[in-house]
Amino acid sequence: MFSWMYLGLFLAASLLLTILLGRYMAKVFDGQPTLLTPILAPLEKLILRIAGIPNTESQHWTRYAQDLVLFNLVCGVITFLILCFQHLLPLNPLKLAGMEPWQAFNTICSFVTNTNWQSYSGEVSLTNLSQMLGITFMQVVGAVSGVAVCAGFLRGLTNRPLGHFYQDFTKALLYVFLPVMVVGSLFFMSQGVPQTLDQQTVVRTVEGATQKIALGPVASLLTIKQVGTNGGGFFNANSAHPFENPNPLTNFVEIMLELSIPMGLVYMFGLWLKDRKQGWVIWSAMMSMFLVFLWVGHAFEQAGNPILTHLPGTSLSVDQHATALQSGGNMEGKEVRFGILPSMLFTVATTGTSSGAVNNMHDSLTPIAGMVPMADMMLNIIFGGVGVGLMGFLLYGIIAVFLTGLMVGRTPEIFGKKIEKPEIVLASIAILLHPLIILVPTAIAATNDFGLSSLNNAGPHGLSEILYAYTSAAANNGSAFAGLNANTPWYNISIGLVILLGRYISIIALLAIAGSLLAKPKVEPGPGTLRTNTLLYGAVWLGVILIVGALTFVPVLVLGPVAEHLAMLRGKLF
Amino acid sequence: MTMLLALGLFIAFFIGLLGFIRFCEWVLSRREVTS
Repeated sequence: MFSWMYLGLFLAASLLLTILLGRYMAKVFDGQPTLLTPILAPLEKLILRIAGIPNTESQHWTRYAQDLVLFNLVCGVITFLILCFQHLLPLNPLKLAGMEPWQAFNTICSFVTNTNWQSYSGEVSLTNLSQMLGITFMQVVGAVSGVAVCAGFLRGLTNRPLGHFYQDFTKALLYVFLPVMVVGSLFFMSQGVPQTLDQQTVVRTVEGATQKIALGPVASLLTIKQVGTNGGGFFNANSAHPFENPNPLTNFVEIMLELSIPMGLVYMFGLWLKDRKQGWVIWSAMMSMFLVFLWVGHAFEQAGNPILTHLPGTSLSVDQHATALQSGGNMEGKEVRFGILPSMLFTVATTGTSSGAVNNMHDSLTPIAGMVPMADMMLNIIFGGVGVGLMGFLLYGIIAVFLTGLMVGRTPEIFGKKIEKPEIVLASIAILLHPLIILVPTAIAATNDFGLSSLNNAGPHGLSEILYAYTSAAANNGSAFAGLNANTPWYNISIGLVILLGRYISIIALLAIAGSLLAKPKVEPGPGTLRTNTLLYGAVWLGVILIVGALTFVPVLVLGPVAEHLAMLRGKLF
Repeated sequence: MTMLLALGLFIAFFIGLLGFIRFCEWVLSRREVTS
């Protein structure tokens, strides 16, 4: 009963946040006044004046993309130096050493791209200065960059001047992220999440032993981690740690924070297009896939492990049914204070939105439920990361109008603009790169000692661990399946490069498409126009996503989680 | 030395991205005239 109330509340809150945040962001990025304008506008003007950025100028897409690339490069280099030389910098009461260079490379690739894959344990590897000035700062930069780029891309699609990268960055930071970060941090502190510069506290346990408990500025990092769909936790256990997710209420708020901006951007797109129906078609398509993934994952987790139902060679069995006294199902790797449905809801939200925060261990999911987050990241468009998820979904939209246009013999058009060969070439590069950067390094790692030696599990489960790592990297998700030691030169370098390719190639290709469409005359819809704002077209869109996006991964999924599931049914575990 | 290699690889990737922006520009410039 609690689980289904939790789900009902989730759907109601999703609808409310979509509309409220969508309207708000549409005004912010359109330069219209909002409730916060009287407070923040003077600050915005001051920042732009100090930085020497013109207040009204719109950029060509190439300049917009260059500014993104150069800004992210500078932020990455600064953070690299902070991480490598943290032993020489202040706020290091535990006298921690500098980070190893390849691990620092992996970390900056991860955090500048909003991926937040971690091959380190934050509480024992990073000083408070590194956590605040390196990690939290980069979480903000990565997330705000994504929203800024999405604003530029959506302007291109909705026939507005593309805007200016630094103006959009400043607006997203001040008007969207800053208020949420302040309110969110205060809320989490009220729920017991620490926010202190003390790095640890020493306590005496009930048995009389001495225990050191890690502390730090957790609440502020947690808020940007969730709202920015970053995912890199303060603690290695991430949102499963009681200091990073103390109760079901914080769990719910964390889920909603992950989804709020990606959902709001879909509504904002509909508003800018002056076609709310188009926004709702996209939102419904994303939400329907979200619910299907949740249903599949929840069903397999609630069913539990069939081997436990009848323990082999004995007459013993484990009751895995949900009753008033137990949650039933597979509770391995889950927190009792959350249970199965809130854990799966978190899993589907975190892998759909490229967040990567976890409140349960994905490595402990049953094989098919473990395939759900992988498939979520392989598609990478179920609301997606802040900004880039909607961009990915619209990318499939461009391919869908092209394919359906070919089928019915019409010139492909989307949002009143004709789609031609150059747009299809760029869209194809962005779409084909995603499976390439997952499958090729997975194959290399799965066939060489330098990849296999990091595994903790053999057989199909081991393949799933490698596949999950590269899928998470390519989708800029950052969640880990666990069971894989990723802190080796091979994994630090290869995962770092996959993360960079997964982020920037598609963003640049999409900005190019937006710039190209913006330069074209708007075509008024006629009787021959294929309308994209209908439920039928939403279904076609989903079909293209499943055929083009998902089928590529079927063979490797069969070798990994599906094979593991079939083996489990025959009594074999890995 | 390893530190320079790691930092160099990161910077080289971003310089490559500037090249990719030029490539996208080139693709868009090869638009075929359609009726």
